[in-house]
Amino acid sequence: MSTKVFARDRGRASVFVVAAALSLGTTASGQDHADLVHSVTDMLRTRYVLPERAERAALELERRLEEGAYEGIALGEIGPALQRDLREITEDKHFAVAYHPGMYRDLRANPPGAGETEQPAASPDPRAARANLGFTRVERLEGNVGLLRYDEFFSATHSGEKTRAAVELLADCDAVVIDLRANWGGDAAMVALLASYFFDAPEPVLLATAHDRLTGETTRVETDPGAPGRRIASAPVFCVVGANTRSAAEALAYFLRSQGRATTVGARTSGGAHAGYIFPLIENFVMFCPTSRREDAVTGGDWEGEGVPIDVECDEDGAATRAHLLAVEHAMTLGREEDQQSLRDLADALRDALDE
Amino acid sequence: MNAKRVLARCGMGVGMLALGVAAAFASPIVPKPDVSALVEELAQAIRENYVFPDKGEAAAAMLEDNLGQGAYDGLADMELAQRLSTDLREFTKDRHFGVRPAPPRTESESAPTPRNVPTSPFGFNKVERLDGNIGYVDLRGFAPRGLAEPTVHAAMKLLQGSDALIFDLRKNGGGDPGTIQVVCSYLFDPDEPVHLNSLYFRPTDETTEFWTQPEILESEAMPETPIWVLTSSYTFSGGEEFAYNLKTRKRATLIGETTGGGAHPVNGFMVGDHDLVAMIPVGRAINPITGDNWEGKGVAPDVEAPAEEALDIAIAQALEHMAASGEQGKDEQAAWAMVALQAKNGGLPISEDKMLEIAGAYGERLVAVRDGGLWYMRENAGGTWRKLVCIGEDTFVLDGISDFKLVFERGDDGAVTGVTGHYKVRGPDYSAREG
Repeated sequence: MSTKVFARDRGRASVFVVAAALSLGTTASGQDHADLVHSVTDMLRTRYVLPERAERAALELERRLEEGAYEGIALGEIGPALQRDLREITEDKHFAVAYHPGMYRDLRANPPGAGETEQPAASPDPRAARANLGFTRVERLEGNVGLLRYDEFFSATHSGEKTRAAVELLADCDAVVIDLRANWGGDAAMVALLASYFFDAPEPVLLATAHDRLTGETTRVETDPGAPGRRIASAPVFCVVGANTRSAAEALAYFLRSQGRATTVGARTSGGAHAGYIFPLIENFVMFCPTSRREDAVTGGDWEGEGVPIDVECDEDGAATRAHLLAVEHAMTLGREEDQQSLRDLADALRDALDE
Repeated sequence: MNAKRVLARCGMGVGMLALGVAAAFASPIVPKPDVSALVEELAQAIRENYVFPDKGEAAAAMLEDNLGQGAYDGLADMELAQRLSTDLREFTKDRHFGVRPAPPRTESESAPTPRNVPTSPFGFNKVERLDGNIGYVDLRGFAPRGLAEPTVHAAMKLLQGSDALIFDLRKNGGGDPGTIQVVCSYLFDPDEPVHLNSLYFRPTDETTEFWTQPEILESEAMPETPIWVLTSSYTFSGGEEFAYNLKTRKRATLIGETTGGGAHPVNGFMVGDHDLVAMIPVGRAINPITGDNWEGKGVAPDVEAPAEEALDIAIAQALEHMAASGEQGKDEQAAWAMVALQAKNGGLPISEDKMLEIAGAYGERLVAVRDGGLWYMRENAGGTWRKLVCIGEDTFVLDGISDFKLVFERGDDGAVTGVTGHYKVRGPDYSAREG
């Protein structure tokens, strides 16, 4: 089974680290790893989302191989070395290479893109349940401002009920803050599902077009007007972002912003706009290779390398407070007479907190 | 207009009724009656409705006495309301009594537009998944069930999948028993309805039983999930009912302070001509297990602690419970969450003798005493010295890092012989002492 993930699946990513750490120095050095490097360059040329950059990177890796750059590297260290070089040459942080016999065996038996894709498991994995499908906190802040701290995009197939519940708790707020500072990404389909709750148009809203080199397909990334539950259709949205806001989390902030539906607050994001799959290489090695990119429906661009444009730049640590203040300032414009004094006091208190 | 018109039935608390009151009345402005008519009207309402007839009679007589002595002469609106409230509460010791100015008459019967009324989270101010998979809810009150039910279901949906639940009632002033019933229904087996509480009402001379609702889906109920309830001296009325329901069923561990002690549901009565609203306790709670309630005495916690410390205690107990569960994954996750919690709280004190026993060289790992504390450095891991925070017997974490801990080992003679590093994401590694 191959599941398409926006960036690496975190569970697997941590397996990568463990595998690399455990296999350090466990086999004889002295190999030149030529076959492995060629399997990486083949993968680049045939799968990597940007063909020109793929060719340049493949040539550079082959040059380094010729120069003996990978000679004598232990089995446990060659994966990290290739991963480092790939990320450096392509400037694409999504790449990962690891020695992982178990995953290699599974992927050989059932490679990505072989007919079936996106076949979700029957029930969410225990990690998803323990993380509440990413919905870490739903809170009513002072001034009738809703806060959603959303930490990971789990499978959209299993996230529907939690999403609907979170929105139900936020739907009556005068403004909503989505804290994405700790959100590294996840399931691409979940971006469209969550975004659906911020529009009430009867027709789908086109957010982006996705181009996948593996499948050769171009698909529409759009909202689902039929997603069950209430909507946060008019309250302004503030997406709080920072250096650890990655991939799918960047997509959500970018799409909502370009649709005029959100203001981004915080610091520069990771800058990873490519989705991909984990592929088997050779000799028990596996590789995450980005195969697809998104073209935003409004800007025509994406956030690869640059990160999401920030409307209100500020220190990441104070960004949630800044967003709360912006939300309160919005609430003050709603003209509820009886609230004005308490909103002014609240805004002053938030400004004081930011000054400290 | 009927001066004793009931505004809201069976409210168990304070501050949750304003909307209903505002919508219920719309009539032309008429001149205010004098104070004595108003007080007499209030006395009569109490006489006829207060849950205990004898005490109601005495309270009514007290008001009439005060009136005769001119105690309320010249008072109106807020001043009069406050004075009447104080007199009633002091005399009856029943904190559910309350008198306040009536809300302004509405111009029309039409419902207020959303933009004119700040919306409410219906008591559910925060629903959070804490480290270690603890579901936490900051529940400030129980809004009328008819309004709050979608919010209740959404909040409970977000709590599903938690390995433990914490209901924070420290700022809970009470509310609708029907909403308490819905929340509690998620916490018991839907196949075996539980009698949570009964309310006796004097005006109708009837007793209403509140049972868990069987229509909660089995897949959504959390009958096995351990529960901790946080209480304070502020926790009142419906908040107390919730705590008492769970405590008497041994369904939760209560942590914090003894609660406020109000077990009498109120009805609202308009007195004067739309001058004041009087909340008169018309009923009392009867717990099916104790046959009693918490009026005047409050609900005592299982673990007494200052309210501000209750959350940390509950988290620690929940994590200990999970760590001892023996369920793979859950126990480990809880143990690491405990490490993070202890580290966040600054760790345990450690004697200088103990520091000197531990300081030394362990292969690449070095431990030194500096500035009255223990410091740690691993030569091949950046070579940075980091402060050690003691979280247990010979067990430490690095300041600011919560996914790694060090456990020093001792030989038969008690001397420290080595140290093992434990990692959240991979297996442990051991370093023997070399100096």
